[in-house]
Amino acid sequence: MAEDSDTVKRVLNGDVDSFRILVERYQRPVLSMIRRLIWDSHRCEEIGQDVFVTAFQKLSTFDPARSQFSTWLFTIARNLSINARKKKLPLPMEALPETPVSRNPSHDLSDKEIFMQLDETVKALPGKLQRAFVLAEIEQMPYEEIARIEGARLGTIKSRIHRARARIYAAMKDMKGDIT
Amino acid sequence: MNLDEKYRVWKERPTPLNVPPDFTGEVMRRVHLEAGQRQAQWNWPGVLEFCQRNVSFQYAALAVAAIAGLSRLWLIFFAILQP
Repeated sequence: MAEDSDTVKRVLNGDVDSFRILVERYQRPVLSMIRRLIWDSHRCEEIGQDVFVTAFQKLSTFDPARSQFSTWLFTIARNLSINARKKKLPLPMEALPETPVSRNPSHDLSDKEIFMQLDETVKALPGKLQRAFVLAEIEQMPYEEIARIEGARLGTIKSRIHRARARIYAAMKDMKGDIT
Repeated sequence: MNLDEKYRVWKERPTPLNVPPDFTGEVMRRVHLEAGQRQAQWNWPGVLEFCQRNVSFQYAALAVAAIAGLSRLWLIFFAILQP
């Protein structure tokens, strides 16, 4: 987006308040992405703030000729989410599931249980598959942009999404019960 | 419901995202703090700008340079004048 480049130029020329425009424009997609990558709504806000502060610190390294501002920002969000997951802090009590998910195969699962089991399947995916899947299927990002964020080839990203989807379908096959 | 439909319903279910009302304000507070710290740090363009703008500093520098120059010539003056 050309507007983003103009705003970046203004910030680099000393108009720090213009950075607010970028924060307001991208806070929702960035927070949504982080929430899906770390699965912890409590730390999501903190990491989201770190994303924007890091972007401000490194703004002079952003090159509009190489990528869009959004791709550059999402790459920072991706990197900080990976770092946050590596720290493996214990989940706060409120982040734990409200009701235990039934593992009894003879019992038909409720909608909520099905959703939770599928979420658990996504959480259990290897990081690369999980990120490609979340960005493509949940966040609805174009595959080309995901490839740039991940620093991988387009074909590799498509393959990761396909493999993640296959695992989710396999999990669904094992589930009893239907969504009402 | 077949698997494709189940998958679609799961994927597209509403998952509200609560963006904290003060999110922008908090980020901007940290950004301003960061910008302030950056300005406080010495850098060469900043030093040159200070030298260029501060007239008192320019007179002081000129005086120091003059004294340093004259003190180097002192031996020559001494030899010529032979007091």
